[in-house]
Amino acid sequence: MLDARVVLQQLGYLAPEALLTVVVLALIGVDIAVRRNVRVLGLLALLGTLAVLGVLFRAWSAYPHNLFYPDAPVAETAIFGGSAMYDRFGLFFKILFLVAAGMAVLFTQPVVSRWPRGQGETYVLMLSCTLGMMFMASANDLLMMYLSLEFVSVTSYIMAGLRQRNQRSAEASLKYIIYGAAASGMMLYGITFLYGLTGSLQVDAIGAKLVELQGEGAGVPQTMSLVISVLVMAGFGYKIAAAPFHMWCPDVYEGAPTPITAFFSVGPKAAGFAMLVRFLAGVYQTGGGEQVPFDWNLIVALLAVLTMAVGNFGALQQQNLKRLMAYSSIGHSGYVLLAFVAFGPENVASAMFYLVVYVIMNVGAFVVVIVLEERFGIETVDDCRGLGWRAPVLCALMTLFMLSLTGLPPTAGFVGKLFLFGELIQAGGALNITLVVAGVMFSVISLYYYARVIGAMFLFRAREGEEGVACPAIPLAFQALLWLTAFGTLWYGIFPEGLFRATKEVVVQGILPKI
Amino acid sequence: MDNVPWLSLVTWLPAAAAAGLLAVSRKELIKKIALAVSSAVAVGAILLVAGFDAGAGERMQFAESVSWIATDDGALDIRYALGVDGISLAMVFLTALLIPLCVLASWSAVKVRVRAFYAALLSLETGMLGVFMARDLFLFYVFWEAMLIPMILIIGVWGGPRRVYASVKFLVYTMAGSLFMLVGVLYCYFASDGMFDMERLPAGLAGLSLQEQKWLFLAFGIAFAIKVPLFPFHTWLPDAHVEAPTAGSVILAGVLLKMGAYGFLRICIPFFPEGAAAFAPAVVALSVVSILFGALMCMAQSDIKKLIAYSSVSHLGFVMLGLFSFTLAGGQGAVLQMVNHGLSTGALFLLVGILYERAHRRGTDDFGGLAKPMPRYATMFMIVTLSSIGLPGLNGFVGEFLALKGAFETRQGAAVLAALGVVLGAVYMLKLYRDVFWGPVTARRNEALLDASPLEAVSLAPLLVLIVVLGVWPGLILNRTEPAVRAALERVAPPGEYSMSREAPHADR
Repeated sequence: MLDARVVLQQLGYLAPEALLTVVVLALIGVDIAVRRNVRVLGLLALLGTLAVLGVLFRAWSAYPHNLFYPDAPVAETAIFGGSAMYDRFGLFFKILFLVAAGMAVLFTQPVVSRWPRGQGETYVLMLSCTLGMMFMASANDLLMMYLSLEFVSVTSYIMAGLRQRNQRSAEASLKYIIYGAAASGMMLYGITFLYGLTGSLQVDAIGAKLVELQGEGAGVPQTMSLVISVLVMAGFGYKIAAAPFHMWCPDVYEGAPTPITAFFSVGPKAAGFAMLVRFLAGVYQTGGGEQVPFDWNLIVALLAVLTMAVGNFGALQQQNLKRLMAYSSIGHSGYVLLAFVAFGPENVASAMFYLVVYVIMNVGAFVVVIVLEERFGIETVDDCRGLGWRAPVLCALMTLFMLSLTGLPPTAGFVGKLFLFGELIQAGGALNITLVVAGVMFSVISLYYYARVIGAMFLFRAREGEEGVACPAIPLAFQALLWLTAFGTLWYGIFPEGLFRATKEVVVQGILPKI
Repeated sequence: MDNVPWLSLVTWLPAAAAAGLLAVSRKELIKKIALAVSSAVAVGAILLVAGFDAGAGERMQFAESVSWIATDDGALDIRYALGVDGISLAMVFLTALLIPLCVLASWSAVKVRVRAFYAALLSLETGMLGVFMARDLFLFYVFWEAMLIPMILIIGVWGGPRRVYASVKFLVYTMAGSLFMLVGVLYCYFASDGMFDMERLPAGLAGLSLQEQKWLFLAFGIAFAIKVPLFPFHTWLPDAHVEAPTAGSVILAGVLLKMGAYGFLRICIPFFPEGAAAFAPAVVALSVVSILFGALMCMAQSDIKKLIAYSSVSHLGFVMLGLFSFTLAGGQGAVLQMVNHGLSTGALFLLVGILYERAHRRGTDDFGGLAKPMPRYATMFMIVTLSSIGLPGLNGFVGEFLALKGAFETRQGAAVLAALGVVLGAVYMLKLYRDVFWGPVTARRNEALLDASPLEAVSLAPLLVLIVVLGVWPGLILNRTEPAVRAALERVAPPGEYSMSREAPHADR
């Protein structure tokens, strides 16, 4: 079935993934061979990430040509017999993952260097997880999707439990595993239905077959479609932390080492969304093809509203900064899910824009949380009281990130929400407008808890004996990241044009033909 | 000369100075820089007024327009576009005039975190000027939101004992309104086939159904009604005004409240004329309630600052009544009254600030007979009081008269009730004046209160002068605003028979 020569040629499309695998193996080797290797490991991980990023950019500009076989036929974007796709949509997300991973390596380094052990494992797992995310972004059949999802999940379970002899870390890991196992079990069950109905695992083939069945009058019964949608969405919902599959999220975020939490909140989440786009675009074709009688957009709408509600209402109560960020990240999943209700090309583009912006501002906010925890020993909102006048720069940057997460101009978060809601309004229909109003209402609610952090920093007096105490020095890696993310937050808030255009082009060149 | 972006210079100078202040650490120098910059902006605003061509109709002057966020296919076209017409000009002038006075009022009142205070004040000025100058709806929204954080900080950091409560309340009210405005902005954008241009939008939105217009009017109107504030959206106001430091109260009352009315005049009425007409009875009713309720609340206050805060509710009721009479006289009166209220209430808050700084009290019961130890102060307070109650010859009279005249043309019942508010206004203000200034000195400690210093007198002088000047020569404002007000109201059909603007051409709809 598969021509060996073609497969060999197509291996060239996997160059970034291959390089990342080499980096991971090298990290393992160095970890075993070199003593006192903390700095070396960090540097190697960072350089490796940058190298992969470089290859990705090369591949981006060479697209649609194969990086190693420029003469290879380019018409086909489905590679390896259709189990994966090679397109700019995938490359876009892979670049995003690598940027997130690079930032994660940077903000992990100062933290793990103080751990007695486990540094090597942290980097190896983090980059392996990134590798899994890259496969998630290009996976095009259900088997590949399931495998890459599990790859990401398993590495995540271990990372959550990396703080040794720490009960909360162990609890986080265990909860993560149990919820993850249940969710992926449900997803697998849903996949078997789809396979049983259509005899195929490739998402577009499944979509085509479903349309054909419906044309023959043998369409999928309503109940069946409902069951399948719910089961499959459980797997995705778990990865992107959408309610009601979010229960693991606050506990894992709180228990896992903070840099790992920060990584979880951006990387795997974005990967989950990337895969969801592919899945929905393939299986549930809209636009071009006839609509398959699946209730998926109602289900996604329900998930989105529920997710926004759980995230935003949950965050109102939180004292612990990491739990607050956990609920906030659930809320943001809800906003992005809104785009999947209408699911036009523009909506997908706006979701991609939002994810990029979200990665930037959320990493920024998390770096502040890490600094607060590591250098100031602050874990709760109340502990931040009066901090604004002790560490004005740090707190001013936190204010910027909080405002961006709320969605206030002139930050990137505002433009992101603007595009997200704007495209939804343009898609029209009572459902979409209602969803926008809901999204806006939840944004108002979210302001309350984000502003609580700002308020604690600036409006309250410091606790006894803390006023005027000089703030500890902030490591260079953190400072670099803070300024970088702050710059990104403002840049995309004031000049969003370039990124906006890129996302639209990606959708047009990548997966648009199928949507 | 034509190519110089005057408006941008005026708008961004304070923000640039605010950023520059971060590098300065000497308190005295910070204050001087803030004063110099805000005075420069005030001078710039005066030059704008001087250079403004009153005969040029409703077109935007000093216009600037640069592409900001745009896509090749034209799907997105957001412009950085500034411009002023008569209405904007009046508001810009008011804003630029009040800020240096706020700096002077804070000179000795703000003692902690001085640098942050002036940085917040100056960045707030940029936001406010931007709102009044923006010609692009998106830009308008950006400036509108950009004001929020500095204002919150001014209330929440340098405010009174309940400052945190007041600032959170202000934040929640404002955000709730403005996010629905965002939905409205987006809807307008798509309904008009991709327009953010505020000058072309009224025509671009002509195809909206009545139902859509009603919803959009609400989406924008609630945000503006909260800012005005129209009863029952006013409950944030007493807290915010009372807890804010003097400068914050002056800005809140003098400028921020005007943004609500400005929004109605600039966006709600011209963009959604039928929606506005549909809601006009409700808005007029709420305006009358605001006028009477505000006045009655004033009578019950024993805190001077709170009394002035509630008087704003009452006065802004007249503004809204004038606007929603949909007559030229009403609209003109509303704009003039916006300026008047900024001058007189701004001055009242400054005066209360002076008193509070000396006595550290501001209950009406704490004072009595202050005219004796503080004659100069009492004189200034008298002038402002008379302006506030609308004595003929001072500015308040003309504005209130025009607003009521406009209301009489189309909504007699409401106007009759509203006129009661004028009487009540005289009652509570004169009662306040009698209690605080006349009679024998009631408390020992007040005998030694220092009279207003020359510096304080000078800082109030511009307001007092304008109160008199606008009283005898309201044309200074009215001549410039007339074309713009006429243009804003021309698309909305006035109810009733006796409309002055009947001759004005109505758009065929």
